[in-house]
Order: sequence, then structure tokens, then C-alpha cells
Amino acid sequence: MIQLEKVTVRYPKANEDAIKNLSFTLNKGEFVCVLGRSGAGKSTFIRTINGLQPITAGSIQVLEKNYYDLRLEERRKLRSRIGMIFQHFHLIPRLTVRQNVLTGRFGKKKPFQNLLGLFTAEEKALVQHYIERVGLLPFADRKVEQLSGGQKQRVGIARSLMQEPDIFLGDEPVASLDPNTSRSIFRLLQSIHNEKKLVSVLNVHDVSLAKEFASRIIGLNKGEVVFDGTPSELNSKTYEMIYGSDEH
Amino acid sequence: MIWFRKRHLIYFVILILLTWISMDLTNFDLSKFIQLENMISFIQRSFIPPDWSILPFLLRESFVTLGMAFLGTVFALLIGIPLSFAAAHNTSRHYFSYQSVRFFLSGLRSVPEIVFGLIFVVVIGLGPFAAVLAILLHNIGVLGKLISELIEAADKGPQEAMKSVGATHRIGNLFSIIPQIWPNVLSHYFYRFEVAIRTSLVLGFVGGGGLGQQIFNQYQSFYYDGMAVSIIVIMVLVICVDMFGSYVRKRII
Ligand SMILES: Nc1ncnc2c1ncn2[C@@H]1O[C@H](COP(=O)(O)OP(=O)(O)O)[C@@H](O)[C@H]1O
Ligand SMILES: [Mg+2]
Repeated sequence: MIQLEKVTVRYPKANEDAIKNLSFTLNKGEFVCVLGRSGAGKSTFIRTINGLQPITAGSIQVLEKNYYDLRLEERRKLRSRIGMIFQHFHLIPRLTVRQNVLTGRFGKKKPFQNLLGLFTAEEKALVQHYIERVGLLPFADRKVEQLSGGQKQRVGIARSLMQEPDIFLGDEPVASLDPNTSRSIFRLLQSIHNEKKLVSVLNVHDVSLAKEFASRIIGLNKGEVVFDGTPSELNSKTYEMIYGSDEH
Repeated sequence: MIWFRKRHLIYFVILILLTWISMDLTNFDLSKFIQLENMISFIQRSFIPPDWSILPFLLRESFVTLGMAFLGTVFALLIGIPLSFAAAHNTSRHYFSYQSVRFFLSGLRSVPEIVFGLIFVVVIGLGPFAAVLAILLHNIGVLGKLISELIEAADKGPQEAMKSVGATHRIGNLFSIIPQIWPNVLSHYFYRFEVAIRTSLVLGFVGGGGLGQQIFNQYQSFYYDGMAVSIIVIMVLVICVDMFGSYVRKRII
């Protein structure tokens, strides 16, 4: 579902590549965790998948489409099939949980329908369903500012679910949450993943979470893949390749 | 010299120098304040007691003044918001339109309302409509600029989230930015509304109608006890608008 071939990204004015020559295929049903020190290129990699980050070289095929062959409108449509959640949730302030979740639908509708809030009865039912799915039904009409971090991330997840995505991305989705909350968010992500048969790609810095939930782990170091395997293949040697010996 | 550097001393000297030059240029003369008694006796003689009989008339005129300030600023806000998206570097789509809208806004801003007012009074005739247009044009420039700065400072996160759900550029910006900046937009708006009330008074002096014109007429015909009532009405008006503005801001934030 996602194929990268020698994908390289270099930021303007940087004198090193943020990611170098990444090549691999991510298949339907894989729950991928990406590990690496900060600055290893994890965020950059995740963002190339939905085109938030343009690539400098190589090619990337997502859902049978080459992103860079598409016109702007088609890119937008493709992106609407890829859900993404963020470390700092990136919810829309002052709006309620329900309103925030509805914005997940924006990529599937015409601008004037979004502007005027013209959602179909099915869509309204879907919102209700997904708010319930993430366990926020009692908070559906609260403003998102009043929620805890874990609850905010659940709103983020529900918003992505409204996209009815084929791919789920997460850029350190639990990095601002406590360990218990993190685990419960991962459990939710995993059950949604299995239910909807997605490809999920999530950055984590907590190795134990990756070991517990991932079906595949990709380790990045200085923009290069240094590990690609199952959690059981992670050992102290591979661990050192990913994180290096010098702690910082 | 722990808290200050030598450079600060130079700034201080420059400041003193500028103050001194400005005093010279403006004939600043504290000794004239000795004539303060004159002013007090002038107020006592002419303003007191105010002629309350014209209050109902002035209240009607004050609605004209409020109307001018309101219409001018509300239209300025409605036109200024879309322009400000074009004038903010993170939401404008083309460098050329970005620069030209910014240039246009600063052009509008650089012309004081009184100058617009003088022109419109000639072009479209005496009366409040000329004043509304003058307030409108100047405030498009001011609000457009202020709001574009709010847009530039808005948190990028929600914008990224809207992009990643596949929202169009416009819808994404609208939803991710407006809710964030709305309280500050209102804050700027109410301040500009308050300023516009005072401006509309000055515009009244050049024939823009409303309370300002009444004050000017009263002044010219030595009808000082009527003018005293006008001044009181204005003060009450500005205080009320200010209180209403803070009430709305508190409700929203
Ligand atoms: N917007 C940017 N402009 C320039 N360099 C960047 C930018 N974002 C990230 N980088 C650089 O790219 C490299 C990879 O960053 P990132 O993908 O954010 O790593 P990670 O998410 O693993 O911490 C780092 O060296 C970082 O400094
Ligand atoms: Mg990162």
C-alpha cells in the first residue's frame, strides 16, 4: 500500500539529508512503529507518506498512486484517505469534540458544504459512532480545551476515523501522555487497525510500546534505515544500531 | 552597569534630545499653564449649567454617530478579514498578490480619515455617508494589517491537521485560524470602533454629520452650555462602548 524507492529529503539550507535513500514496502495489515533518536528523521519520514513533506529525490507510491504525478485536487483526495494524529493533537480550539471530529470529513466534501456545515444524516451518525468508538460520548458537546491530553488524542483519532482512512499515521502520538494513557491510546489504535485492516505507521520513542504493539519495527538513524524487522528481532545489538551507544 | 549597557546611555541621550527638539518645535511652554485659572473660569462661566433641554436632540444625533462608527468599522472588518488572509505570508498563495495587498493596505492606512472625509464631502456631498466611507477605508487598512499579523502568529498545528485531512487551502485556513484568533480580532475590532466614534466627531467638524457636527455648530455659535451637554454625551458613549467591548471579550475568551 505504501512503496518508497530511494526516498530522500533535504530541507532547504540544510547541508545533510534528513532522510536518505529510504526504500521499502509497507503492506496492508502491518502495524509499523518507527524508532530512532530525536533528529533521526522519523517525523520527516512520516510526513512524506501523506505529502505534507515534499521529497527531494526518489519516488513514493501510496495507495497505488504516485503522489507527484497527481494534480493538486487529486493529491488532496489521496490525502483524505490517510489519517494522521499528532503529538500535540492539533485540534481546532474553541470548537467542540463533535465539531472537531466533523472536520475530519472536510477532504470528502465540497468547500461550501464544509463552510455551511451541510453534513448528511449518515455523516452525523458516523460522528456519533466514532465519538462513541473512542469513548468520548459523554464529552461530545464539550469544547476541546476542557479535555485531558489522552482525551484530546482520542478526538484526534476520531477525526482521522471520519476520513475512513486506509492508512493511519502518527507522529509521536503519545509522546505528551503518561505511560498508562499512552498504552490505552495504543490499544485503541491497535483495535481500530485490526478492525479496519489498515496500514499504521507510528513514531514512538518508547521502545516497550513498539515491542508490545508493532508487527514491524523500522529503526532510523541519521536518516537511514538501520533496522527493519519484527519486535522479536530487536536485541541489544540492533538496539545500539538504532540509538547509538552514546546516550545524550 | 549590571542592568544597563553603555548603548542604553546613548539611547537615553537621544531620547532627551528628541524631547527637547520637539518642545522647541511645538512652542511647549509650561508658564502658560499659569493661565489655568482662566480655563476654569471659562468653564464655569460658559459650560455651567449645561443646557439639558437639547439632550433628546443630541441623543438622536449620538445614534447617527454610533451608526457611522459601527457601519464603517463593521464593513471594514468584513472586507479586512479576507484581505488579511491574502496579506499574511503563511496563507497568501502568490508572492505578487501578497505584496500588492500589503501595499494596498498600508496605502489605505497612511491616509488619515479626515483626509478621506474632506474628499468624500466634496465628491458625494455633506452628511454621515461621507464619514462612513472615510472610516471604512482607513479601517480596512488598519484591521487588515492587524489581523494579518494575528494570522501569521497563529499556531501552525491545526493548519497542518486540516491539510492532512485533505481540506482545501481556503477551508483549512478558515477553520484552523479563525477560531484561534477570533478573541483578538474582536479585541482589535472594539478598539477600532471606539476610535471610530472619536474620529466620527472630527469628521462631523468637516460636515460629516452626527454629534461632531453639533459640537462644531455649538462652538461656532458660542452656544457653550449646549456644547457641555454634547461633551457629556460623548463621554458616556465612549465609556459604554468600552464596557460593552470588555463584556463581549470576556464572554468569548
Ligand atoms: N523544517 C525543517 N527545516 C530544516 N531542517 C529540519 C526541519 N525539520 C527537521 N529538520 C532536520 O531534519 C532532521 C530530521 O528531523 P525530524 O524528521 O524532525 O527528526 P525526528 O522526528 O526523528 O526527531 C533533523 O536533523 C532536523 O534538524
Ligand atoms: Mg519528530
